Amino acid sequence: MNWLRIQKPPTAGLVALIPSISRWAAQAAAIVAVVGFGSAMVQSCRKAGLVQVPSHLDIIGAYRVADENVDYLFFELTEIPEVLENSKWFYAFDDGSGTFNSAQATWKFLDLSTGVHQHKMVECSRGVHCGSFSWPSDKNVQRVALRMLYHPDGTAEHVTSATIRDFGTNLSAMVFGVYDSSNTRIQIRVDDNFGIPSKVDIRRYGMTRKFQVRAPESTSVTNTVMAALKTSRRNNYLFPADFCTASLSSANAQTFDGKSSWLTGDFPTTDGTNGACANVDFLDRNGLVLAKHTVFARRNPKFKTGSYKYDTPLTAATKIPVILAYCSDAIGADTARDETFYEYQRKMLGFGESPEDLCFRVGGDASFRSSLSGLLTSKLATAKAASSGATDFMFTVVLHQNLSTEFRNFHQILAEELAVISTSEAALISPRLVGSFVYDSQFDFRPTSVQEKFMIWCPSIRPQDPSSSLSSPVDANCIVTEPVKIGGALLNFVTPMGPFPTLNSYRNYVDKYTDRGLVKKPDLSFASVVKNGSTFTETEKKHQVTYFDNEHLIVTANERVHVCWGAANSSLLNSLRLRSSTQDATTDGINIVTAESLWGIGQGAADYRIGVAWELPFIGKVTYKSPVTLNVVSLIPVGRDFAGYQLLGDPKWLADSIDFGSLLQVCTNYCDHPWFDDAGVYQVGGNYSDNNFFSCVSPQYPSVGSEALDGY
Amino acid sequence: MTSSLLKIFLLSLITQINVSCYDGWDDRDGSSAATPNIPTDPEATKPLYIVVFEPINLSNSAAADSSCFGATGTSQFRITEWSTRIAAATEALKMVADNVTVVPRAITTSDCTTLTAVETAAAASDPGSVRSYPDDPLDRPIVHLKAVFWDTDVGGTFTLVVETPHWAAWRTLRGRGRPAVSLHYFSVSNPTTGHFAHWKASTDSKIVKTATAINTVDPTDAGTRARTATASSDALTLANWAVQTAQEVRP
Repeated sequence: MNWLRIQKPPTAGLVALIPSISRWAAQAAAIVAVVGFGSAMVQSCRKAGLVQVPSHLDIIGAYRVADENVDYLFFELTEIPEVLENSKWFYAFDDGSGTFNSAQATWKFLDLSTGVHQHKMVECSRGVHCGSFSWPSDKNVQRVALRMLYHPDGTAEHVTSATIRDFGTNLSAMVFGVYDSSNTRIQIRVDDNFGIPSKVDIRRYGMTRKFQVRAPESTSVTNTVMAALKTSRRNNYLFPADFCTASLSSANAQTFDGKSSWLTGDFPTTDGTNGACANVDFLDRNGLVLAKHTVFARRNPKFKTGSYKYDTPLTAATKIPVILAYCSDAIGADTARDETFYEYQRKMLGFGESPEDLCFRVGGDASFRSSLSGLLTSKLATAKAASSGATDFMFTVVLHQNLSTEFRNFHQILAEELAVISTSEAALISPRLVGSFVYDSQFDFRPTSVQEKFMIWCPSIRPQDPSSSLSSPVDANCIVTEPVKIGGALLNFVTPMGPFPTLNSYRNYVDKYTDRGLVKKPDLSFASVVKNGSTFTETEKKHQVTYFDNEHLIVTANERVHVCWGAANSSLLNSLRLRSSTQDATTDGINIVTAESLWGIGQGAADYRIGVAWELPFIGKVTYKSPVTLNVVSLIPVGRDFAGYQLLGDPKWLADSIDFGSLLQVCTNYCDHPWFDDAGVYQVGGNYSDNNFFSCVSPQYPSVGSEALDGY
Repeated sequence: MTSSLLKIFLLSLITQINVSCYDGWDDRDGSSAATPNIPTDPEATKPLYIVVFEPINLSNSAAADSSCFGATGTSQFRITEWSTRIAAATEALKMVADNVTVVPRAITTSDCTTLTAVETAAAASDPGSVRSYPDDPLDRPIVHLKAVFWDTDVGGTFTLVVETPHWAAWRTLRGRGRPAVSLHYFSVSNPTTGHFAHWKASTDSKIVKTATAINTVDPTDAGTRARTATASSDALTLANWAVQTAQEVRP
């Protein structure tokens, strides 16, 4: 910035001041200031005979505005305040023929109170004094000089000069109107247009201008007309608003000083107008008109405020306990069973000390398969017979064993039989079996990809997640929350193990902490995607999609829907599917990203059914109290890969309903107008819908009566 | 994988034995008998010319638990144990013999109480096609290793055809002046009286070796690891014993 440039020291400076100070001994403050400022320099001065003074005077800008027939001057002086008490300011003009000479120039005393506008000196920062001045233009004058004398009797001075820049047809201020949050009250705002100083900084230079607004009235202007004006006037303020009718009327006239003023009275939206015109007069400090223009205010984008609350398709499912264990009389049973861990497994699933429903033994594959099939069929039939509602069922299985992998045929048999019965149930409407949760004793069995559509096998190896701090696959035990987080920093069994540890992890824990890890009030619950007669489902590559029963999102032709990806819980949107009422039955619904693209280009008007995509038709939740009585809650996600955790693996899906109001922003009117952003800045050059294609805003509107902030 | 690991294991053990390179059979007695000359260099001449390894074991677990063993799961566990042992022994024998031929004598579920397959084997004309081998210029022993892998024992006794130290083909071989030696190996977990006990008792103890029995079934990972370790150790012992004994009893 030019006011930072090093200027040649004036002929006097502090050296010239020193004898004067000795004469002005009474001005102790000045002495103190000088001593404080430059005692060291004076010492060095005695040796070097030269003093470098950091003070300097700069003209920041000098402008000629033909529209008002006024010249403007902005300047800065860097100097300690104490030596300015007796300073005098002068200015002079020339015709551009040469440089100013302080001796030759015809200096006129600079009386700030005589400016066209109101002016004053401002200490705009420590040791920097900012000022401004304005005078009626004289076309013969091309340059302006500024002189500051430290004392009328002294010779110490600063002199500087600058060429007056002619603004031509440009205006010194951009005037525009904005609306409040109700879109009925208008604030007229002034953005100074000098460039340097900027509209943000200009208040620091002590100039206050006066304006008058007259004859405001609501009106509508087409986008085409507004766009044409932007082009012709080369500004986004739509100023001067040539499409508004200039008037001499003084109706509802009000005068204001400074940057902004709220107009009295409402400008309701009921008349269907998209803005309001007004006449604005640029006044001098005495109220005389310098220039007349018209100004336009654009209504703020209007957002739908209704609820987007939808009932989730998830309802609580009924658990069907199944307890399977290695037979206590089988060969090697003394090592292939661990009664302590077996007790833990049953307790965590809420089965108490119930005996096994079926045991298996090495060499007994065939009989186990046969018996298991019958057991599962029988248990499901019994559960259905006892059920009176439409709740679904989950097999909740304890699988206790400590077998080497070569004897693990039982795992495959169990996975196969669970998949068989689940497959047969999948096509049914609720109540039906939706899947299974198996709490095994080891981690290294994983069902096939087909079987995984119906069951969660826990614990198990899951694909490595680079962002996870899980130390090893053994520690991964089927919950969304990492064990270390759900247990906090407190030392309890949850911290090292999680709720579903392997046998080995459990044994390590018992050895280390000498307790058996039993917790209070463990509760494992599930919710399922209920399927009823009106449920519509479709199969994507990886997911099933269930459309909420009679839940719709209606987007009209004029509406622009924005997706709030940055909002909390926006990950829920990944699971959403939208199906247009006019869509061909053979095509799948669209995901939110596709919908967003359509909405963004104004082609997404439709009546959408709301659906949710899932990998498994159920979600689990485990709660219990730790030994230190902390409640612990975590989720069993429905997806096995990490991406799946972002789908239904969110506790909010367990709520009866979800309000997407905070995740979707629907603009209904004035969507291509400027808007107030999250920080309250009026984005005068923008178009809300185009500029917020993939985001939402939380507009911070100005309060009626408040003044516009600099730069806002 | 298991085979490679076993080789490494055997080599590591063998190299700890203080031996010199084989330069013909060391006929000295005393300490040399306890430390047979197993070559440390794979390219060096091995102490045995031919080993015909005839493992006798149940080959199919289908219905074997009830008809052969009684306790459910025994056959599944034992068959895995035996296959591990046979694989380990084969690898160990290859370390000491130029030519190792495995001639499986599979016992089926229907044969597990009579073991007629063993009777048949005893009368076989040329197991391992040993006759097709040319004479060994070094005149090293040719070993016939009969190895029984079983759980408990099978009631009854074998005929003399089986219990004759040298089965039919080997008698012929010896008759032709070849240095054929018959050895016996028993890996029976819970030995009682029966075919194998009688067979073993009727055989010169010099040519009989008994494996470390795994009497208790442990189907856990720890059990599996212990079983593999036992099989590896026994295989090394068997190979050393075969080298030593073949020298002692060669015709």
